[in-house]
Amino acid sequence: MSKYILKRVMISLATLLVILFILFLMLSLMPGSPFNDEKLTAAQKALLYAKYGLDQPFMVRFVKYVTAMMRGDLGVSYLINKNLAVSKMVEPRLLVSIRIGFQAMVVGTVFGLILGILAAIYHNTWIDTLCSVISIIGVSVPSYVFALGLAYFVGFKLNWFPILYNAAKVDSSMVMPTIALSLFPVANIARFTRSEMIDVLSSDYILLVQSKGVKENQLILHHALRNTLIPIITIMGPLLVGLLTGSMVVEKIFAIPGIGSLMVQGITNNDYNVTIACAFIYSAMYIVTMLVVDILYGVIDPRIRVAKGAN
Amino acid sequence: MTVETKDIDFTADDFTFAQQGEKLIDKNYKASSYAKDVWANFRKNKGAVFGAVVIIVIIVMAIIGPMISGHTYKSIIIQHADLPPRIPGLEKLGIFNGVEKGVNVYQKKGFSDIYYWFGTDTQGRDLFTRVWQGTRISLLIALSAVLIDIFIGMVYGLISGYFGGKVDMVMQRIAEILNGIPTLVVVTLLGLILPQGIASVIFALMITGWIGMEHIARAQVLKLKESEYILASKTLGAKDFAIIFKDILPNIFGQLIIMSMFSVPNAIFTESFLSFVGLGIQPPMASLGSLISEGYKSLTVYPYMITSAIIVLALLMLSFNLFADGLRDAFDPKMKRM
Repeated sequence: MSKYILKRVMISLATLLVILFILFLMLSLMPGSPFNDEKLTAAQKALLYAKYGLDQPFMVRFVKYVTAMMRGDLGVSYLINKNLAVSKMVEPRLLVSIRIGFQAMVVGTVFGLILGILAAIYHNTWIDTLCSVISIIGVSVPSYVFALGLAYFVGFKLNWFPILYNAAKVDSSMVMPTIALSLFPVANIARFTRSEMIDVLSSDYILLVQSKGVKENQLILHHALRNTLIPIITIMGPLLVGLLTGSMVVEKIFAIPGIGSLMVQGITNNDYNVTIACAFIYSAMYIVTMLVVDILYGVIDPRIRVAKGAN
Repeated sequence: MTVETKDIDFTADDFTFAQQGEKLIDKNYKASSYAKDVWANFRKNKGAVFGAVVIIVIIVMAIIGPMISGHTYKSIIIQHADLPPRIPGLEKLGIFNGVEKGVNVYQKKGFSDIYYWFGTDTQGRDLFTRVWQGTRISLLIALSAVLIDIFIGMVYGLISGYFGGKVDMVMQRIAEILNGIPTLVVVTLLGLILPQGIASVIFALMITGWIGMEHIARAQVLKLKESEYILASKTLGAKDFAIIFKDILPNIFGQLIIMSMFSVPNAIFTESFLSFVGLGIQPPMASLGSLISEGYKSLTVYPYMITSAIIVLALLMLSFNLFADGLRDAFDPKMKRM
C-alpha cells in the first residue's frame, strides 16, 4: 500500500511540474506585456524587463521560478499591487476561498447524504420524488444562476444577509455564497447516494441483517451506509473541481475577495506572476484532491487495494 | 425392493408429432423489435419526453426567433431602453403588459403600438431577439461538444485502452495533465491569441472537454478487448486499427453517443460561465451567459432583463439532462449506474 501511495505521489508531483511548465510556456507565448503604459519609452521598458528578470531566456526564468517557489516565493506583482509579493496577495484570498469551498462541501455532503438516504428508504414515495426533483434541478441550474436568485430574493427582497461581501460581517456574508455553491454537491451526492443505497438495501446481506433483528437505524448507518459510501468518494473529486469553477463566479456575484477574482484580474492585466500563482493553486488543489480520492478509495475498499497492489 | 423390468419394443408408429403442420404463434404477447422496445421505454419516462419536447421547441425558436420580432439583435434604439416585457393579447390579461412598479412604462414614454416581447436592455436592444440569438450559440456549443467527444475523446480512449501498457500510461498522464489545467486559464490564454469569442470557447472544449468521454471509451474497450471474437479476429490476422474501429467500435458506439449527450449540459454551462465572467462571447453578439452577465448589473432595478435568459438557459440544461437520462435508460437499463 505505501509503495502504491508513494508512486501516486510521485506521479502527481510530476504532473504538477508539467502543468507549471505549460502555464509558463503559454504565458510567455502570449502577446502583450505587463508594462503597456504608453508613456513608457522602449528604453524604460527594457529597464523594467531587466529589473524583473523578464529579459532572460525562457528556461532560465522557469528554473528560477521553480526554485524560488520551493521556498514559498511566488515572485512579485507587476501591476495590480506593484512590487507586492504575490504570496502576500494570495494568502488572505486563499483563506477566504478555501473557507467557502470547505463550508459548501460539508453542507453539500451532509444534506446530499441525508436526502439520498431518505429517498432510498422511502423509495417510490413523495419523499423520493421530492429528492429527485431537487437533485435534477440542482444538476441543471448553474450555480451562478442560483446565486443570482439567492442574491435577489433572500438578499435584496428579504434582506436577511448582505448581498455583497462585508469584511466587518464575515460570517453572515458567507451564508449565501456557501448555500449557492453547495447546491451542486447536494444534488449530485443525493442522486448517487439514492441509487447506491437502493442497490445495497436490496442485497442479500441486508436481508440477513434484517432477519437477525437489527434495529433499522443501525442497519442503515452501520451496515448499509458503509458500502454506499465507496462509490460516492469517487465523485467527490470532480465535485470539488466543480466547486473551484463555481467559486469563481460566486465570488464575482457576491464581490468576495477570493482567489478566483484575483486570477481573472491577473489575466486581464497581464500580471504574469499573479496569473501563474492562481492558476497553479487551482491545478494543485485539483491534483491533490484526485490523489486523496485515489488513496481513500484504497483505504475504504480493500478489494481495490489488492488489485492495484498487484500491478 | 426389486424393480420389475419389462421389455418394450418401440416402433415409429408409437410416436406422433404434437403439432404437425401448424405453426404456433403467441397471439397474446406480440414480439417487439429493439427499436420498439427502446421507444416504449423512452415514452414511459415522462421527464425524458418533456426534455425532448422542450429541446425541439428551443431549437425551433433559436432558428426562427431572431427573425420574427422585427428587431435585430444589435440595433440600438436608445429611446427604447429599459422597457419591460409587453406582448399583444396577453397584456389585456394583466401580464406582460409593460407595467413596472405600477407604472405602464410604454404609456409614460408614449409608445402605444410598440411591443417588446421580452423587454429591452439598458441600450434599447430587443431582448427577445437577443435571447434566441444567444440560444443559437449555446446550441452550436452543444453540437461541437458532441463532435469533440466523438472525434477526440472517443478515439483517444479507444486507442489508449486497446493498446494498454506504455501507450496507455503515457496517454493517461497526458489526459490527466490536460485535465489539471483550469478551463478558465486555457480559454483566457487562447482568447489572447485567437479573437475572444466562440472560437476560443470551442478550442478550450477541444483541449479539456473530452476527458470524461475518453474515460468511458477506455473502460469499455478494456472490457471488450479480452473477448473471444477479438481473439478470433486477431488470429485471422486483422490489423490493430481494423479491430478497434471495425470490431470494437460498432459494439459500443451507441452507448458512447448516449454518454456524449451528458457532456452537452456541461459544455453549455462552460460557455455561459465564461461569457458571464466576460471571457467568452463579446458584445454586440449575445449568448445566454453574456445576457445574464449584462442583466445582473441591473438585477435589483430591472429584474426582467435577466429573467428570460435565465429561464431559457435553465430549461435548456434541464432538458438535456432529462433527455440524456431517459435515452440511456431506454437503450440500456444496465448502464444506469455508470
